[in-house]
Amino acid sequence: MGQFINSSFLWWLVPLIAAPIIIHLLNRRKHRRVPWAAMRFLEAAFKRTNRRVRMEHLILLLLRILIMALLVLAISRPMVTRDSALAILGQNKRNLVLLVDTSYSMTYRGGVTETHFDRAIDIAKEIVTDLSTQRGDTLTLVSVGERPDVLHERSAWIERGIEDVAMLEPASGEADVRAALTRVLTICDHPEMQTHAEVIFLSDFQRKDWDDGSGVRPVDTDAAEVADAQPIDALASDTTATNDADDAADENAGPAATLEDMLAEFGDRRIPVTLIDVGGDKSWNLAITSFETEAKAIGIRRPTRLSVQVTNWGSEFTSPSVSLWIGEDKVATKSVGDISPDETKTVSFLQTFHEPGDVGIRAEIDPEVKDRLEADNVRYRSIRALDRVSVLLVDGDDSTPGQPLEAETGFLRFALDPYTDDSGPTPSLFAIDRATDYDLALQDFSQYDWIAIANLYELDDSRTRDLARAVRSGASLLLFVGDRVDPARYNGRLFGDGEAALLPGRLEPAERVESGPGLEYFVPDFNHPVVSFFEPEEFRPLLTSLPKTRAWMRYEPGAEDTDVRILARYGDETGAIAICERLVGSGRVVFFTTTADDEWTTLPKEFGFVMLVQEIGTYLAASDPFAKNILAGEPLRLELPRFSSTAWVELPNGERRNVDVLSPEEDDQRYLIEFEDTRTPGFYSMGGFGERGGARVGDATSNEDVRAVFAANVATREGDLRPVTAAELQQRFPNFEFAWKRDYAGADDSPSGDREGEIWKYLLAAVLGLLLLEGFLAQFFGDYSRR
Amino acid sequence: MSEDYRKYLDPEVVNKISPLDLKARLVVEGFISGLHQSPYHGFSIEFAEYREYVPGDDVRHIDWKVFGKTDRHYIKQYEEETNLVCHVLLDLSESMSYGSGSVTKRDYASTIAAALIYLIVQQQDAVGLGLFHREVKSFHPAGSSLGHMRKLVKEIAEAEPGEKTDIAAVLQDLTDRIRKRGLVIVISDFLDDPEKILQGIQVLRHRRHDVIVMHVLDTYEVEFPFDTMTKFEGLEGLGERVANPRALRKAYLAELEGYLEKIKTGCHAAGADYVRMTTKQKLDVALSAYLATRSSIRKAKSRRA
Repeated sequence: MGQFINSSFLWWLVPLIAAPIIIHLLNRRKHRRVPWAAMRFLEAAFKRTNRRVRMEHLILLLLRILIMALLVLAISRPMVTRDSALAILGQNKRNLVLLVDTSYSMTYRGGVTETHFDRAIDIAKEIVTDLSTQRGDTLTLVSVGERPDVLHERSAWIERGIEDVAMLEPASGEADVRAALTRVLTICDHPEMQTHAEVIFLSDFQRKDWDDGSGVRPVDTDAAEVADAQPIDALASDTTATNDADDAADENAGPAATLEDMLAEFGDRRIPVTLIDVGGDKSWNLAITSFETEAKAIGIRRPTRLSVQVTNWGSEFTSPSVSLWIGEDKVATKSVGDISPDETKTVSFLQTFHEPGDVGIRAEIDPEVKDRLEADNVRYRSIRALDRVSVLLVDGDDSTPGQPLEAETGFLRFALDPYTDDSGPTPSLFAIDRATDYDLALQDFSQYDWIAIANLYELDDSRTRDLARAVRSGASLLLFVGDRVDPARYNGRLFGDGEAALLPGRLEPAERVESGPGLEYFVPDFNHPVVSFFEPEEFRPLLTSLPKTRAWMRYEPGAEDTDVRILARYGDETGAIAICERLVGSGRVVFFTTTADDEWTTLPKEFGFVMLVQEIGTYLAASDPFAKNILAGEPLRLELPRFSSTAWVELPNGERRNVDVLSPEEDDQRYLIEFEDTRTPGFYSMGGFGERGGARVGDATSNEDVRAVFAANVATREGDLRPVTAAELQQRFPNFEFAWKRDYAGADDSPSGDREGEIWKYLLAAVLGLLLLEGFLAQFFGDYSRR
Repeated sequence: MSEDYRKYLDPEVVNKISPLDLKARLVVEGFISGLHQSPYHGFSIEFAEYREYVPGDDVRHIDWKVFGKTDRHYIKQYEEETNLVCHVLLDLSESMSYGSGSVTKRDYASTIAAALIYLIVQQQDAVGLGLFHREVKSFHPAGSSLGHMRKLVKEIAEAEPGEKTDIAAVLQDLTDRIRKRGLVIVISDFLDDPEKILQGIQVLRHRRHDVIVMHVLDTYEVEFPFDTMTKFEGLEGLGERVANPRALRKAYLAELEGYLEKIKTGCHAAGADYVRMTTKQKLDVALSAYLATRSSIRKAKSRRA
């Protein structure tokens, strides 16, 4: 006998064995009294039967004790080891957890037509067929994709399991091995799985899936949730689409167990793991790993540069060409040139868009190329072509209206439209209106894509509400301070928890440096799209060392305010914030703590100011609260400006489905539509009839139909087919015990073959038999009433 | 009317009546009324001679034909009434006080003893009474008057229960006291050594008495129907025993059967009539047994004559 599964029940052994003895003794004490005349016969009978009766009582007592003991043992579920004398009774039940890799790399054609996935399914069917319902085997089927899915948990319905295996389909995501193994460990926590659990994993075992570095996705976190929790990242990712989910996930990796710990746990818990490699040694795979636009905001009627990155994940030289498609039209084809294994090359297309609105474009590797994994040969992108960007500049100090650069917003205007005489190569993207605090009351904020307010004394209550409403519904705000700004009035109206709270922190009175040229700027993170232009060493001084600031207004955002992102600080020891960004509803507020003119800072006079304002202007114009470029499997979300009864989504195959419009919450006038089934890569269109369709989403010319185009792509990393070997795994995870196989050789090959067996069924049968015997003997001995 | 009397043959019914003499009368009335349908219907007492009526004689025995002829009251005298002398010996030991229901063995035995006395006197026979336990408690020689009868019945009713039984010694003693040969009816539960019991019976038989052994047992003693753990507290100082009756029952019944068989066989061998009765049985069993024995005695006498 080996260990017990429910060893805690053994504590019942002593009391339950004592029970029959106690009952026996109590029964002897409990009797009625009868006066009796015929004692002579009674005594004679007693003498005659005493010995026999004692023996009978003893036999019954022992039987009852034995029944109790066996019952406790059965409930404690003892295991017998193979070398035990009871081994022949041990039932080698199997609680199989079968993991099948459904990432798109499994669609690699290893044979003429057969993919790795086909092979995995064939083997999985064989494995499941070897399970036995009679033996009480159970199957847990886990598809290992972007989000591991448990299809069939601890089910003894084997036939159904085979059907479920047959219905598995490869997905568009990459395999999240760690999340899958976490699920498996959770499943193995179940009492039913405490014994005979075994894990078989069918995969092509890409090396990147077993990377225990920061690139591994955290447990139970899907990209959609990450995007919600990290709005700035998610929205910023609109321009850096492919790795957005990975980046967000990386930041959330947190304290989850490392892959190494998890793998070691299988050994600790004596769960045998078999890895069956269905992949091959050689691979031919080209992939488009990036498809980006160079400009943040794409204006119509002006050339836009599109760059396509092609990576050779394969093991052979190749010379592909890439085509650019807009809608159903192939507009250009370019040769990438020779790409050696593991090399990445970029080709650029210059493309002009003529119609404003969302456009779906795709880059595709020439199908002539020898490539066995086609899922990553095409990459989709949704871009928004803008007609003009409407900008309102509000001048808080209009004392010198005649001199453009003397005005508070003069430098801003110049930076947005340097060629005011239309002598530039292309007309400016920005359509600029100007207002002062006197005619501010006449402006309709909702007509503008973004609004810049510079050195304004104050906004009255109604204007503050209008501005906040415009920002919350998607417009952006660029805010500068100055000597006319009264911090108390700003804090009163624009700071706090109210609806009009636009400020990222409490504003303090102005501070100055009395001597010297002033403070330099310091950029803590060049990843933000607004400052990324200045990251190269040659451009960096334009922002960081050349401009000097002599006065500013200090404030600090709240520590828990995750909506605020610092773009630049002043380079003194206090590190006061110079530029920051805050998300407010669907809009953004970019906040400068100094002036828009050269009153407090030399920045507007520097060449870098033009770059910075252009970057901010296009960033704010292109900012879209809804991620249009997603990973396949992530949900689509779109806001409708008003209620629409006919919201719809059009799938990549042209099918159109109706979707529900989510009613807005009480203080939120946004009508959202969502769609989750985006497993297929390609273009998804989403929309409904709305009144103000053009301003925020979709087609600017239409006043009725809101239409947005989304592009869903496969995860690029999945194209890296380089496999991990058994030796590498063993070296990397020395505490991970596993069997490595290239094929499945039948049930005898199962790691459960030398496992311990259970004998509780036999013990229960013995209890039943003894109960019958006890009943019969008690009757036979006359211990039961014979009325 | 006869049905009404017959109910008094039920020991449970008659036990509810308190005066023993009334009990006895009711039992006998019930028994006699039953005889009209019984095989004993033809029994009669043979006429011997006439005797002049004296006050105290039963008027039913006046021969009205003779009165018509002679204008004097004569009563019929029967041959046996002067011939049969009967002694009832009643066990009063402690074991007789056991009763599983409302009727103890003592109640039952007392009732049949009184009823027998009543019946015997009714038949103009003489009856005597011996009460005993470990020793003879009282003894009354035979008499046939109604007054004598009442005295005997009163004696039975008022007798105190005794201690242990020593039936052999007691019967020896009583045998010595019974001068005239006749019928001896011993009523007891005979819970004693069978050898001693039979020895006592044989002593009676040696004196050429006709003997009827009336063996009274309680129903529970015969059936032993207990089924839960029981502490049996022995009467007559026989100790106590905790036992599981279900386990003992078979052996007990075997022991009892052996004992009863021994008594019965012994009685028959000694020439005594043996009647076994339980406290649930109707009381006419005893009276029938008596009449049957009396009849056989009379026949035997006729043969000898």
